[in-house]
Amino acid sequence: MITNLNKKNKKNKNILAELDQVTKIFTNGEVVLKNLNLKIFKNDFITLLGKSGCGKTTILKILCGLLKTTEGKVNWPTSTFKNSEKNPANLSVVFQDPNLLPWLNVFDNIFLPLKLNKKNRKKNYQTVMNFIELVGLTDFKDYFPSQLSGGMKMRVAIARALITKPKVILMDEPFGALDEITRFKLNNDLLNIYKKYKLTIIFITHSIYESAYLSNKIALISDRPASINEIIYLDKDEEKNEDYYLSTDYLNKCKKISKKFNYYNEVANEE
Amino acid sequence: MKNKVFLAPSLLFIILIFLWEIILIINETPHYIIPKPSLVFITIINEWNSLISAMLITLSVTLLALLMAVILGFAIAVIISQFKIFEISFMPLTVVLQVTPIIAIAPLIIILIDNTFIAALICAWLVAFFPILSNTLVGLKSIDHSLVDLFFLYKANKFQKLLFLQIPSALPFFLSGLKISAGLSLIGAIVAEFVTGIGGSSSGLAYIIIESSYRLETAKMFAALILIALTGIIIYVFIHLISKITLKNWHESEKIKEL
Ligand SMILES: Nc1ncnc2c1ncn2[C@@H]1O[C@H](COP(=O)(O)OP(=O)(O)OP(=O)(O)O)[C@@H](O)[C@H]1O
Ligand SMILES: [Mg+2]
Repeated sequence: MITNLNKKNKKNKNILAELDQVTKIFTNGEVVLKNLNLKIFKNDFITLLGKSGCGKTTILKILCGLLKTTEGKVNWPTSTFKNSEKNPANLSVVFQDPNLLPWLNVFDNIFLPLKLNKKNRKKNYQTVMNFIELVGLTDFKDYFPSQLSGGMKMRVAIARALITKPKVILMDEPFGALDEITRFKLNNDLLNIYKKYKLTIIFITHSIYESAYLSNKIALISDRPASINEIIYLDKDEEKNEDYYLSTDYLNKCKKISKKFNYYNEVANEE
Repeated sequence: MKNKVFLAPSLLFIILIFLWEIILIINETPHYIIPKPSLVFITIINEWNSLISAMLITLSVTLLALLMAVILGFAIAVIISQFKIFEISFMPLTVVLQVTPIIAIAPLIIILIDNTFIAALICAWLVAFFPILSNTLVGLKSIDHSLVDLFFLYKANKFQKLLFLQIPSALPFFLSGLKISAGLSLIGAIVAEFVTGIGGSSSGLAYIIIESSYRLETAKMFAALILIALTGIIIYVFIHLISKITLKNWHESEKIKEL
């Protein structure tokens, strides 16, 4: 098995999070992660690309402390994370399901993280409205989750994750339920936010196209038990817009990733 | 569609009343065995004052007991849900009290407590309390795990989790407990009145039934019976309205089904 880990010459102080030889075995005996190593650097936009059921969500939950490792360590060298079980306020997670509170309307769902932070509702009204506008739900601010479509719920979840102005965002297939057009728009919005606030984003997807468009690093995840097959480095400075989306450059990039992805799958099947 | 919902049962009801009247007339049944609906109706009008004051007594015992059951049931459920040890120690006791029929406990309560109103209140409370307690407890514990994760990530403390997550999650469960308890507290109140027998100043509808049965005033018995049913209906509608209003936007059970 080929493992192409992060280059050693990178300065360690830029490491934001690190999974060190992480193994996860669930109580039913299922070995989902095996000796997984992954380093996440500041200002990375890294996608975890892998087949359904390979363990991507598990990696993400271990990263943010929702699951414990069976073996190995999770390090957040520069944040308070390592000392406490709880996550630093500068980290947000968008889960695979929107996970909205059904008894709160759009506005209050988005306000929730601030409310839990004991923030005043009136004082933060405009902040919340700005984020509602960002995800294009201004007309729906009083709607309840049961009155929204799947994609709209997901957009609420995204706004909720952004409202705390996090430094790190973990996203678990956030745009899976959306149509191509909205997806493209939100991809661009996300890239803008990423640049504007100098974020670090860990993004899960099983779409090669999405990973190629968004990220500057792609971690190819092997099938269960999951480990990192390879990390592909992409050009960071490309202008991402509609022209780029339709360019042969982009298409070639997707091809290259796709080839590698298939290569590892074939190797795995032969074993 | 909506008309049918009201029309069909009302029609059936009228037909049954009509048949009842006709059959009694044909058979020439004496009124002290089964009174004609028309006679019952006249009795309700004639005895309106005594009936309505009895109804108010029964209603106030029922509602007061229900209110106590709501407050105590909810509060105790919240406390129990926070500390596992309380649940382990309290629940067996509550089950014992719950499975023992109220009719068997009522005489004891009435011996212990002189004031008949308070005794009736305790009887009604006793039966109304447990459905609210156990339903709320189940609700407080059956929270969506992914929402718990969310609260964990936002560093919510125990109190915030209780207030913003557990209690709202428990609301539908609490309300279905309330629906059961509302019916039961009326039963509790009536049972207490039966067991007390002559209630002196505080004599509710059940007392009227007993009293008129001694005097063979069967029509008055029926009149009281109808008012008991009416009391039950009033409470039922009231509770269902509360449930509809609080849950209409988010819970499946009360959601308006779009066609
Ligand atoms: N609580 C659990 N107990 C036992 N097995 C689990 C548990 N959670 C996940 N798994 C197993 O772990 C494996 C990986 O699950 P995970 O949710 O991480 O996949 P994924 O890569 O996110 O898939 P998808 O792209 O479909 O979301 C699956 O085979 C699943 O059966
Ligand atoms: Mg997943």
